[in-house]
Amino acid sequence: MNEDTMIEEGLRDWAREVRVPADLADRALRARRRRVFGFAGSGAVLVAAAVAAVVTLLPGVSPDRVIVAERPRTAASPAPTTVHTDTENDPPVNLVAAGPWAVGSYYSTEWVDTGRGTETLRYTWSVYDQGKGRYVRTPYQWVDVLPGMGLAAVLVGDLPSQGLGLVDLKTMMFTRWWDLDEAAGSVFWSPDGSKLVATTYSGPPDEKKWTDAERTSATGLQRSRTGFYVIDPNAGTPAWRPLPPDPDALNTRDDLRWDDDGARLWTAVGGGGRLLYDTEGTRLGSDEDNPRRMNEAGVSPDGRLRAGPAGLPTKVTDVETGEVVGRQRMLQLWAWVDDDHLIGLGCARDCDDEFDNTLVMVSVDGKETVPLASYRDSRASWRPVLVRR
Amino acid sequence: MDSAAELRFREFVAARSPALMGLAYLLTAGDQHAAEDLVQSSLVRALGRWSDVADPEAYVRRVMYHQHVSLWRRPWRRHETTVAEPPDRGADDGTRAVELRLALRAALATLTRRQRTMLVLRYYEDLPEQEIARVMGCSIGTVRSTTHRSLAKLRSADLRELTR
Repeated sequence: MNEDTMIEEGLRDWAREVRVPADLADRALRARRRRVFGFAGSGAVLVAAAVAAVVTLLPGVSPDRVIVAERPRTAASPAPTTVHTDTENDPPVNLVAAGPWAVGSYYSTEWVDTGRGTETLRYTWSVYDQGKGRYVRTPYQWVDVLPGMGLAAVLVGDLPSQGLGLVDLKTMMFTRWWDLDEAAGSVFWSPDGSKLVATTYSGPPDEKKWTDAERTSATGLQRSRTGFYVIDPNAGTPAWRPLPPDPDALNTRDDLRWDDDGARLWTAVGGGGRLLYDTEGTRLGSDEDNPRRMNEAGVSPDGRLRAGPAGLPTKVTDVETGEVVGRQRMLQLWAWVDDDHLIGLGCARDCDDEFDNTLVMVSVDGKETVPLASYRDSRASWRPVLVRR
Repeated sequence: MDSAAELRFREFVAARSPALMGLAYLLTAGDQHAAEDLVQSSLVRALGRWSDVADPEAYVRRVMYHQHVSLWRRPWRRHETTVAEPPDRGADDGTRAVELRLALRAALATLTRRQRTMLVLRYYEDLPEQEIARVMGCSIGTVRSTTHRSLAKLRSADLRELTR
């Protein structure tokens, strides 16, 4: 290593040790108001999040990730039944929602050079700003919207990031902040919104060394997962547990998410299976062909029907008899809107290009279809993340 | 400042705080509180011209350089030294790379503020000599000689070991 490189690296290394306060913007705004008006303006209003027991769709996060739907449960209050579409704007500006589900956030990704012969993903996340009543672009590299759409957990700065915050989606201000000792590559709410799980990595979780210009194949990089935090926002102190990379993991990114029971954690393995862990990081076992793992809506709210796997076409069967009760010209069925309708991924025109698709509400018999957002190339454009609203 | 501008400011600070704090941390030789003060006072300055600023990060960084330089130019601050101790690391962490990094950090912390600021501007901020001279209010010759002396001082510490 030459002298210049060493000094550069030494400085970068030292700079990374700084703690980043969450309230720098507030401090500066308050100081500015004092300077301009000669008194202290009102401080940030911290809004406590009251969270009902609700469920969410978990985001797919990189081009080869799955989007996993939890089976809807009974909401604490009457579930909304309205449908909101925005087929004019690409990506959407106005609320996209059907029944109990809404697009709480969406994201796009681009590959960026890491400066060491590899590339990693940079994310652009937008969330539904309740104050403004429209989707707004955020500066965060990771966003997970709490069911109810009042709060989002975000990671600030390049992934993995040591800055984890909670953002109030009415004011778009931080209500909580943690400076993590271990840097996180993802964060997810538990189904009841009472806990977070953040998976930590020693390097960029999406880093790849591509071997061709088209980015179709990549050489293996050392996996960098180090462990995970389980965080109870009400209790405060994040608890970190080591969890080394799994050799069978699909990708370098090997995130933990909450199971439907809100007690166990899981990671994805090939073929639709999952590895299950407790919150101490002890392996509890595994399962295969888990519907959530494979983006399937699962069983209808009344328990009678089961949404099938990815199509084209898709199908819905009777839980008891196995009889096919309807086929839909859809690519995937993600979530039940009510006992007769689903949200899924439908393709444009005659499905001559499966990547030209969008969110569509479809009836079980397949006769009624309502595009919820504008069609776009799903490989390169925005990707929706549904959340219980 | 209207709400849209305030939101833009908040988004900017949320996204760039780590980078700005990193720079401030180096300029203040690892002093957390001084670094926060430097970033905050620079952000306040930037707020005053927020609607006119096309590249907020570049602007705030420039304000930070100037604030830092002007602070240590004041006579009453001159006697201050904010040399941080390098953080303790466990002995089991003692790979050669870690030892070398710590040795470099200790050496950097022994430089004067002026010397360290110049090295930070050159090696961390990647500024050309002409720009460093403008920021520091001195000639290019002074930038070169100060940098030269700083590097010599580092070498006399543990840098020889580091570059071996």
